[in-house]
Amino acid sequence: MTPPELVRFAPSSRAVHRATAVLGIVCLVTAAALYLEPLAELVGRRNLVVDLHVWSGLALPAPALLGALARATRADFGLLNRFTPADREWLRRRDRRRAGLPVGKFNAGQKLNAALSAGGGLVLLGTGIVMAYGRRWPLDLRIGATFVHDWTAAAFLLLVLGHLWFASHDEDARRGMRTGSVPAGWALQQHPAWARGLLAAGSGEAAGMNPDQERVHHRANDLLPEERAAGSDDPEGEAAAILADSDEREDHPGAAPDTVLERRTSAEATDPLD
Amino acid sequence: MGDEGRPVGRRVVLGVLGLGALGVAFGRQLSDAEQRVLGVVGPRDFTGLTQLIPAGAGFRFYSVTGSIPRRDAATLTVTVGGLVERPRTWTLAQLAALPQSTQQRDFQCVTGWRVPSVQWSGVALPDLLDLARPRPDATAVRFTSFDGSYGESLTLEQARRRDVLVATALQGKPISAAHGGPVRMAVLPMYGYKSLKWLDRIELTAEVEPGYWERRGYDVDGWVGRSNGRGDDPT
Repeated sequence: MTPPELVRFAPSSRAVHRATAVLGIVCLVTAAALYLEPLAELVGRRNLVVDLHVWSGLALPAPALLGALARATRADFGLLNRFTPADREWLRRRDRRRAGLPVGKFNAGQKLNAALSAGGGLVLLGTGIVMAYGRRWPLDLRIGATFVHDWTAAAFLLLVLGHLWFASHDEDARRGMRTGSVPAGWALQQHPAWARGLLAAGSGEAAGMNPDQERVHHRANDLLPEERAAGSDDPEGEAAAILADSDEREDHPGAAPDTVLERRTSAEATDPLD
Repeated sequence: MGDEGRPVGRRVVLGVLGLGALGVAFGRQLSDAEQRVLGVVGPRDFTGLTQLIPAGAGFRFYSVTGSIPRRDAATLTVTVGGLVERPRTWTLAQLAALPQSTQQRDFQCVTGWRVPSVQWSGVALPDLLDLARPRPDATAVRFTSFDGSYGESLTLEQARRRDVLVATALQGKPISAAHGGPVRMAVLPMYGYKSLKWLDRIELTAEVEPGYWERRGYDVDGWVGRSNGRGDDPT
């Protein structure tokens, strides 16, 4: 059976990401061709490279501004902006990825990266405008702008490299940005609060469900005795989590009994009322 | 759901903007301090890592064409022509046989970077002009690069200064192709764009013709500290 899927990014958010990535890469590549001597010697054509750099830099905020017209993307911006107590916990703990924190659609690292990239991008834009168009402005202003532009660009490059490093280690996260949807199991592990919310919102809408959602819905309404006794605020979310876990255990039946992949029957489970 | 939690993202953005503004306000002092440190550390750094530090000292390579123009030093000639009585052509060896001048000055780029104490050697331009004998109607000198695009001009009065060199050596060594060799101009009291690289021809003209960057807005009289809206210390 194909694992259940959750919609993670609307087309507008993916378009913003893609356009920003293209413009950002043009900015960084042309910057390298202006700044690094061996590359500058190889490429030359200084005025053309400067024009490309300036125009892609000026255009860099445009995708995000246009994207803000779309409700789904505006909602993503809102979620990136807000830090919950779980986010603070996430930043503090070393076992942040295994601690079972109620991480939302974005984890605190992604939120921090977004905020630092936006702030750094605006600093690069402002200082870049001074450098490109301020030839008649006070010298100290231009020296200051050049100094800040150079150092901010170096920091910005580190942010981009970090972003690419994390993306290169998470195929499902990349798929979410590329196709718009992610496996529910991945979402419940990496962004459990978001995934549960989405699955709960989908409960009761059996019509139009895909087979995976149907399976979750079925599991939520067909509780084990101990589950029925304990009750639940979020049966759909728990059902999806249980199914994702069960799929994983079916994939790895030989897993040691003291791991999260242990196998036991319903009768062996602890009675929640004890 | 979007209202859950505190707007830390916005505060981080504003904080970064504030830091950026502070950096611009005190950038002159910060950048001077950085240059002082690099001036001490850089020459002792045999790893070359200081080259990677942003705003680090040293020449930056600017070319308006696509690749480094290369000419064989053995066959290269430099011509002085135009409004002169005796057009002349010199090989590198013939230039070396003329009286040589060595001068040490800071090299200042109009985009802000400055390389301290650069040593140039070559023939003072007035010596070459005297040998070619400018005609009375000549008032300016035009330089042409063999890169096919770049050009520069000086008034005849500026060109007669002893600190305007037809340079054949940089820091005591033949000038590399990347630095504009085998022969380039070194107009020491002016911004770097006046010091044309890859020198091919020198022509006397009736009036000053704006050069490559001057047609794109740079001042024709490119004195360091007194042009292009800049107040750098003179070199």
